[in-house]
Amino acid sequence: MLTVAGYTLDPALRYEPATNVWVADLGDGRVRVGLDPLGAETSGDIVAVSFAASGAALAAGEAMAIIEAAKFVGPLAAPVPGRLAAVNPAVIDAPGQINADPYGAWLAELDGVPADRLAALVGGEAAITAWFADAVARFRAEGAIAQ
Amino acid sequence: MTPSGPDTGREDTGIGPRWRVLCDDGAGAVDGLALDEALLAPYGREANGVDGVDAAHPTDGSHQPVTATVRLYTYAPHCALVGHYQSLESELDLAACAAAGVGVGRRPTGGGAIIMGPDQLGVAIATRAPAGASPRTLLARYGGGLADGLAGLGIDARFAGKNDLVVGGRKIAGLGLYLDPHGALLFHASLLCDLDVALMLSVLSIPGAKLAGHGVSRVQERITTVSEQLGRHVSAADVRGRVADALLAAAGAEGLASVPTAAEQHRAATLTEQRYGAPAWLSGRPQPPGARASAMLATPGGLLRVYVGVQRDALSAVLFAGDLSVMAPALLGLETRLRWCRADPDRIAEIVNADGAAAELGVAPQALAETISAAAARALARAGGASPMRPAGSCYFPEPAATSGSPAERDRRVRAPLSERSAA
Repeated sequence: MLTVAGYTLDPALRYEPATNVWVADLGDGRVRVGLDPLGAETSGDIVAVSFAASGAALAAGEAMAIIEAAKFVGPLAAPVPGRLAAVNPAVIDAPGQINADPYGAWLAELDGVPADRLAALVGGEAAITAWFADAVARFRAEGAIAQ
Repeated sequence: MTPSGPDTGREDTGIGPRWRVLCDDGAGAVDGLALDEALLAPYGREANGVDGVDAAHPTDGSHQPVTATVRLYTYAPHCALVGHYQSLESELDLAACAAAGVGVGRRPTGGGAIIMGPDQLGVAIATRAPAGASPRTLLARYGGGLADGLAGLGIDARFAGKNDLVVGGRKIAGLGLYLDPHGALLFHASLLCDLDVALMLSVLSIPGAKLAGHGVSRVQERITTVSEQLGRHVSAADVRGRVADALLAAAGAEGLASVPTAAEQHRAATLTEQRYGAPAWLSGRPQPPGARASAMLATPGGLLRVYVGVQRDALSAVLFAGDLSVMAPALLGLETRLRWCRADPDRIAEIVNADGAAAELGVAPQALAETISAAAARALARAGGASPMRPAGSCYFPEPAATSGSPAERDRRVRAPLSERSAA
């Protein structure tokens, strides 16, 4: 595991920088996704999450879930194209776990994901570190996270 | 209204140089919300600008694009609006609403139940969601414009808790944010210019009203209004122009006075029928039962009772009461910071440790955090139990502890780990 600016990152995962989503390659075109620690923190305390219909074919950037935090309601975009194959019922029952354990509280699994779209996400220790350090610096400058 | 402002060089924020400015009064609980969402449509990724006030061809001949619409409006007296994920039946006394002619609606944004009328200014900003901006950043950006407007009235409002605006620790405005799946953004705010507290207590399920009959004073400890701050009655119409000017200036935008287009009105009518007025939307999706509970802590100044409401695994409301001679201002701020946080001892301790309330009470932060956690644990246990409990979550207070279950049963529940007690 990596620690960048006080946040834990997993070099075995890939990350979608625009939405702060992590993506785990499960093989055979199937991935598991969740919010990274920065995405969880900057969303605020999450109080509800709902998902697109099971089996829905999603384009990258299309809403796979609706996240509801204390004062914010908004979509969480699919980081890669694929079919919504599974959702984590635990986060529906206890959405606060997304804040408490962003890696443990996975959100959904997609299958039929093209390999090239997965490979295009941020991956590898050096790239993850560089991207994440920039993101943290930006959020701190904006006051979205504590200094 | 002065439809101009300084160039603040904020184009990179996604806020462009021209904003449409809409003003209206007497909105209904359902159609008022529907029009807000109807204003979003031109700002989605696939859209090409505002119908009739097109980005490429503004009606005034300007070549500047219209990149946002701000609506400053009031509701008909009166409307009660719950947050997106709240239970209408739990948050509102629907019989009292009907008896008082209070309309009810469900916002697309989160937060707690509020009452709106001629003395509460509604603010809606519709625009394209900037890429890479976090919800917190966006709330701060637009809320900052509202705070600037209050500063122009001589009121020093600051951010607190989950993005409320407060004056001296007392709430004066609530903020909310909704991002639609098409990439459009709706910022909502309600500014308390004045407030009929008695009416609010009669229609919102606010437990402060049940605390030894001191409901009005309990509310007044926690909220303030523009009228109170200025020492004279101030209506929403009185401050609308100043707020508009401040929002435009904060965005570095020029104002373009406007009215809803025919297409927006049509969309609003459709949304009224199919979404905001539909029984399925009003009733909301099924929620797990919430619950409330309390715990006590001896302090040098007297006994402190902590009331906590939970919904799913979050603290939907927190209230400090007791026989303290003076309610420490820091406690009121802590109530705000704890609201909607995860009902988890570590998270609660984190917030309490970063706060000065424990020191002001003369107790260790750990003791205060443990008391809050104990109340939360009891509420979570009740939420997971068979007793019918009403979810908490009005803007201001939880309800006093329910008393179902034997003491032994309550103790057994309390001793179970929090993680085993999340709402079913």
